[in-house]
Amino acid sequence: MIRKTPTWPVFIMGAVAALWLVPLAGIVMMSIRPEVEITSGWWVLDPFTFTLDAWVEVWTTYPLGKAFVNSLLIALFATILPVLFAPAAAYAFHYLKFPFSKVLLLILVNAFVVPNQVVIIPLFKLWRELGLIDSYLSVVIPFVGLSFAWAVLLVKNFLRNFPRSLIDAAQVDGCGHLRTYFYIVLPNSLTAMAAVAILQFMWTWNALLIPMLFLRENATLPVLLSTISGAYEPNWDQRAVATIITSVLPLIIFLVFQKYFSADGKNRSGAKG
Amino acid sequence: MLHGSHSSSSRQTPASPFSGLAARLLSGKLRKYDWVAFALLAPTLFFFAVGVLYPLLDTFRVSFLDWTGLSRPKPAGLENYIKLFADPNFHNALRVTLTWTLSCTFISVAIGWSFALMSGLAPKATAPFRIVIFAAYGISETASGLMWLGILQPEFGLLNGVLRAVGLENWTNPWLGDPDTALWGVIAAYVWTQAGLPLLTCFAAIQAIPRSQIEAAYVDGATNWQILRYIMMPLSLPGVSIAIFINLLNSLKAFDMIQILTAGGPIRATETVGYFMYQETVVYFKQGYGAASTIVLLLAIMVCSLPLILKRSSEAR
Amino acid sequence: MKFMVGTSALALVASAVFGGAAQATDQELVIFNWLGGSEREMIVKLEEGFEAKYPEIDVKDINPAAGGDDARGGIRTALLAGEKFDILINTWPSLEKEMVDNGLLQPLDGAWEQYGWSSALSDSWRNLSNHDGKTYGAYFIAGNRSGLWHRTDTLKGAGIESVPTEWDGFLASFGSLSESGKLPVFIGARSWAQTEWFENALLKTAGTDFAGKLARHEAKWTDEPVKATFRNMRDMLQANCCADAETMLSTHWTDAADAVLKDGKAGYMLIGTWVNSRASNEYALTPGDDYDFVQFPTIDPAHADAMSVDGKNLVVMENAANPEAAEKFIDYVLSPEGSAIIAQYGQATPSAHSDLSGYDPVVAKYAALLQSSDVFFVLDDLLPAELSGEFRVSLQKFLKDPSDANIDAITQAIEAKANEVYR
Repeated sequence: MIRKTPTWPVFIMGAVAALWLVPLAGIVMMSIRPEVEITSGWWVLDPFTFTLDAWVEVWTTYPLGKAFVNSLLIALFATILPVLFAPAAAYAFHYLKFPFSKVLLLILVNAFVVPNQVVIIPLFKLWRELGLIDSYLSVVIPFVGLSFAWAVLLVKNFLRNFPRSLIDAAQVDGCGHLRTYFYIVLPNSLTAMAAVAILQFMWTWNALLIPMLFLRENATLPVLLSTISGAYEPNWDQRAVATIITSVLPLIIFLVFQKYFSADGKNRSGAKG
Repeated sequence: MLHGSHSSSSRQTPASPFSGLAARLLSGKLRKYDWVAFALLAPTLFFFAVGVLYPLLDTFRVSFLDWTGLSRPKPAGLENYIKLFADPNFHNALRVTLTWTLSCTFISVAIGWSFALMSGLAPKATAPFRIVIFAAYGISETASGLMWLGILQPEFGLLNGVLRAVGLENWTNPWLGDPDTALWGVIAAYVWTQAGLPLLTCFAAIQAIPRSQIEAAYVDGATNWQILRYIMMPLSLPGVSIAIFINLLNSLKAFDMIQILTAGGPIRATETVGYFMYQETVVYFKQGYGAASTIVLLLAIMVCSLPLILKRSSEAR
Repeated sequence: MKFMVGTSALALVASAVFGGAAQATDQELVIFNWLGGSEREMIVKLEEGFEAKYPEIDVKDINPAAGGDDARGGIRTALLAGEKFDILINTWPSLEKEMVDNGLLQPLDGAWEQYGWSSALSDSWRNLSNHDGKTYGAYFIAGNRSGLWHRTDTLKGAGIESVPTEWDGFLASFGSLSESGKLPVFIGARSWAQTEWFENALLKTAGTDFAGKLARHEAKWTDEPVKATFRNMRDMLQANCCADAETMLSTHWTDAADAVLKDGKAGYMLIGTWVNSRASNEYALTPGDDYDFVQFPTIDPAHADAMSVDGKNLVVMENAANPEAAEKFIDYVLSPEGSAIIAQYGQATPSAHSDLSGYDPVVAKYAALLQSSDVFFVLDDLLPAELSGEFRVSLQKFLKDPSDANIDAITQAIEAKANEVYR
């Protein structure tokens, strides 16, 4: 690479990122100061008292470990399924001709606007009849169902620019669509799948309404921590702790998956020839 | 996603008439149904049918009922729909939603895309900044709402505090209590959480541009600006379009942020359709009425997105 | 997952087959506990105390709608979907009435006599849960919604020896507060706290009878007493009580509490008794010493002892699997032991079995008032949720424009909504 990296983007982005950090810094500040100080504004530094009371309180009061495992398993199931199936659906919609394909795609994609509060009541009734209340399935099924709306479109969008030569070659070699999909398209769709995975993981991890209503003993982390504030007790300091605890894992996941993006850029340029 | 170079090159290359799929795709005459599609679609359709379609059909049914949940449902015919179209609060919600969704989406995508382009010029040096901006996306709406309350609150808020500190006392404002500024205050907070998404998708698109292409342009004497304008901008468009789609629909559903910052107020100035539906179905529990508003919104969006999707599908074949 | 579903189904079958005699701890009492924060802890503590006393009963605490601002949606969703539980904690008389109307609750009159709850709860509290001549709920915590909270040093600094108990004198005291650099009254009107002012002004202007008629929509929102209430509130606004409307509309009661009780920037706030625990726990203030409350001033002397109250009660579901255990639980909560646990959390209970000496002076003061005043349940919770939404927004409109013309427009809008809601 002979090109010299320009410096102005670094300065601009640095400045904006600093602005972006302000609310994040606020969360940290709120979590380490007594609530009485925060209520005058977390940014007022006089007086500043450092305390880990809120951390200790949250740590000792709530069974975080179990909720963490519940959250993790639910988010993993709810992420893996769309990551595996959305590319298959996108492949079908993009390359194959079958009856009602446009209508199906239209319905599937528009389901994105279906608000969570719409699905909860009918599903609640269904889960009760099937005895699925408090099971992971009760939460994973709507999570996965709701994800296809955008996930299929995202992968389909990716396929628009997929090197057709690869698929044509596979067809010439006599591969059926299933084999073409599994051996050619899937391994080369890691970028799209990573994007689906990141977004879906973050949504399901932070989701509150559906797990709150469908889970009992198997409550997720956000549900458990939502009981921190009563109607008349904001408990800002503990809520800040809760926010940090729940946000750490998605951030790590993001950092890990971020590498996939750049790595994939290299892989794909090799596929050309 | 978004591997722009291939699409442009493959479009220029005439497809070989003997390559199986391409031939079938290009000449309509030879088209046959690919029944294998249903095998590929089966898992998707299963989850979709149970998790979304069934509740949606139930919602459609309920939209013709007068039902507050605890009582026996009464058939209401089209009454819910007629009332909805006459409801000034629904009209207000539609107006607010238009400003809200378009502004949130436009600003988020503008910020995310321009940052992705800047990152494209200096990917390594800007990596930590990208993480900071994306981190906001991982924080729940509730938590971000709390943070922004600390910024926009009139007495203890950071914004007014800073304005006072630098002598701009006159500029201070109870941002969230003034019907003229409240919506913009919530938009600012929402953009803060959402801009990470276009940054992610657009940057991924830019990363997918083969290095060789950029280097070749550079060898040909292209400036950074030209590389940005003529290579990165057009080739990151797929990332932009997916971000627009997701941001648009995300902001349509936004609720927690509004609830915390303004609770729909002052005087309904921040009451979006999403908030309206929540109030009607969850708080007032007018199941039929809330269901009708959901169906109307869904139909409206379907009609708007119909041309887009039809265009996409025909383009693909 | 499948495995878990399977075993729980098996357990159900097993308990059905072997019946209650098989094990000592076979009875289960399911309590729908949607509360959050320390109130939630209090209920859990009561449940633990109950289990210790009745080891054969196993309490299951479910919360499909935990925390949050308005749990009614979660409660209704659970009811609608057929969630089974024995006891529900309720705080909205309007929801309770709807449940009674739809046959979801069972009357407690039998248990009331059997356990002698009249020795714990006065008839006025029993009547709050009276629907068509039957009692459906037992109140176990109660609060004062007519308290004007203030810091003692703020008033002293403004030269106010004692808070005027008459409306005119109260308005006149704003001048000295302003002169001492304080905002006289902090109203946080972002969501619902503005309704406290209207409701108390209404009670003191028109009395509890009229308020009751209004809540049942036997009186109209366009009636003269409602307009007179608005005009009294306008007098207060014109006496320069408050910040500009925009500031009121962007703040909540928590902001008011911070400004009035913590920072001493403002004189008075009107809010429920939960602010007491905020002041003593979070601001580390001494109740009665650093801060105190007085009852909302008298407007019409005929309604001087009208008092707005709130409370939470326990109701037993019609389809309760274990109504006997539910009644035992209510009895425990009302008993001296239960009352002592409630007192530990600084909450007042209307139960006569509570020991007032254990309370701080502020709670003791309003606990006594709960017995002696003409109590009326807080209006916003008596209104159907939809009407309450219109009511809150209308009051925001009023704060922005308190003119006669706007009062007419607002009262007509609420009345129109009421006509739609009460069919």
